[in-house]
Amino acid sequence: MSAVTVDQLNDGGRQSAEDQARAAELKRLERRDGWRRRIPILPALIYTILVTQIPFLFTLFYSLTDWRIDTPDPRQFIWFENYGSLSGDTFFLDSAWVSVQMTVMAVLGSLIVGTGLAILLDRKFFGQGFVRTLLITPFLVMPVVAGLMWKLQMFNSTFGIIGWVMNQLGLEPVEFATRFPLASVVVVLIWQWSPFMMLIVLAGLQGQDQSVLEAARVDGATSWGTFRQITLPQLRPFLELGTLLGAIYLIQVYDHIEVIVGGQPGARNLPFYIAGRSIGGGNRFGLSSAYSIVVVLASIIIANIGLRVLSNLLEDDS
Amino acid sequence: MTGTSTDPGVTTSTLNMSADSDIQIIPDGSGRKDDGGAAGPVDRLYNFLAAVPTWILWVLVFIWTLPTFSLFVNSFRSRDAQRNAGWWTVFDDEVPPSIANYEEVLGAEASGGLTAGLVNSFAIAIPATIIPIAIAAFAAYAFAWIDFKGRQVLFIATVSLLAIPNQVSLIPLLQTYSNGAHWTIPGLDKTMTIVPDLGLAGTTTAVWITHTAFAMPFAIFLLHNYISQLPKDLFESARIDGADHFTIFWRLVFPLSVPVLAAFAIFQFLWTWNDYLIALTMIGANGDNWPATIKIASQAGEFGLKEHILSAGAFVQAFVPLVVFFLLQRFFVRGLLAGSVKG
Repeated sequence: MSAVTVDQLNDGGRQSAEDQARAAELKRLERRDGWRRRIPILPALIYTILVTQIPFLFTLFYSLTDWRIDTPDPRQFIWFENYGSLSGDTFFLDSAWVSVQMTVMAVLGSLIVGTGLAILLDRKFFGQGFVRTLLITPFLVMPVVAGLMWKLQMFNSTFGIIGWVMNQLGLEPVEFATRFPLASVVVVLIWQWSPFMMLIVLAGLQGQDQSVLEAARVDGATSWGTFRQITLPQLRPFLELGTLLGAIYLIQVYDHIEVIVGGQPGARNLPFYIAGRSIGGGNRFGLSSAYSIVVVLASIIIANIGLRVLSNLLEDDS
Repeated sequence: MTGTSTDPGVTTSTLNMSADSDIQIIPDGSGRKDDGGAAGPVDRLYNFLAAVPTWILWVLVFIWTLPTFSLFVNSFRSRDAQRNAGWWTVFDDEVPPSIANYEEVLGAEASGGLTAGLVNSFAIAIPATIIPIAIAAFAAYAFAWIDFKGRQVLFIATVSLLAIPNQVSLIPLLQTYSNGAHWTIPGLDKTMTIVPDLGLAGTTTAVWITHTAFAMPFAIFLLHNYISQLPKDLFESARIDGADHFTIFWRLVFPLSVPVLAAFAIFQFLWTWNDYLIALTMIGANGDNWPATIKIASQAGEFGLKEHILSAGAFVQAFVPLVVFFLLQRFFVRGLLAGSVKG
């Protein structure tokens, strides 16, 4: 994001008579051709609108009906009744809270672990490529399998390695997935997403301007001082990007929850709950559609506030 | 921010530093001076991490790999061995480790082995990766560089769809695929067909069409980030030289966007190759068209009957994304970063 402003400022600085003449020429071209030049773009736009906006409108329509698939009753228009019942649904509120906790913990956790691993990897040593490969592998494992292997070979009190270690230490093994469902899911998510964060942060670390680091070292800065004042500010856009991309995927987590904890209330996020109310046997598509609409609106509002707060912070900084 | 960006490295670092403390710390010769509140446990942690000997890294790698490794070991153990004791007892097993599980997974069975599932996975993942790229790149270019009314609103509306839990639209979609969409106009007693009956239920086509639609917001978002940061002069010159948007897209934007296209391709291929829920909903009972993920999960689900081949199956299934990732990985990070971090 910062790059945009810098570019724009550069453009402003270089603004000259020649540029203005060019801009005028461009405007003339655009006006002359009108829609003719845009026709080749239209199919892509129309398809995009079709596959992104039309399903949303369908969902909006369903959310105003009492549609359920398991009864022969015709779909009836009930206006905002679905939305009205939402505030009394404590399960919905619970799963919304789980969604928030799960996403925040998984994103922050994998960001922290990923940054740690990236700092460790940012050096030359024997077997570097091999280590990188091994660390990245979890990101490529299918979620269903990742969930199953953690459940059976790590968390399980009899066959799990954690239980075995606890046994060796003289502790009583615990059934983690049942005792701490949310934490269990988050651990697996962090395991899968840290490599991704590591890749991004590592690119940030290795893309640093070496001469600046060198200058800081010559001037006698501590390694932590250099990190905090040169590396970290340079790393911030990378961390932001990791957070954004991670959050986009982690907010939709479903497979892990299904495999590791099933439907335990402690670890049921919004997608899981909504799926349960619709395709998972609940069959109440009208109601679930209303829930989805609320989730979308809430996400837009939260994202907007978040972005505004963030950009305010950035402006204060400079 | 100031406009002094003749030396990009220096400016970005100085620009973002907090004003009060950065001036003193770098010339701080003693190295012992406290630089405000942050130098405490975090300071020590960073210095610790930076000074950690490499063998500790190897230990961490070992722990990190342990879950995968345990799966790997188990994939060679017999059914009884797996059910009797944890994988670390592999050397005490009565039946020695063998590749029998892999043979069973890949061998032809009544419902078709995993091989058939892998073919189906390709039939889903390849179109579901290529089609969104082709369409979204074009749309992203339009959103970034063509002025039209309502561009901003449409862009925000498209990207915000990322927040919809996909699960809720699955059954309506499935109904549309199999029965079409019809609407009886109230009062007129007349039925309009909005979407004809396509009879796609149970086919891999239904799965990749769904993936394509769900991928569109993210694809447009990611590609737009990158394409909107390509140098403006390039397009202006091309326009003045008389190129139309179509030419600009194919001759300039597409070749320049290869890193971000590859980055998205990795994301999308991983996502669709590893997907379980969408395929299960769309294909359901039609076992012939199951992708590898459902085959593996159903083998695990048959109440212990074939649970022992789960781990071998998982390894076979994971082989393809590994190859794809390592072939394209040099683009992956670059493509994600180029649009979003550095212009």
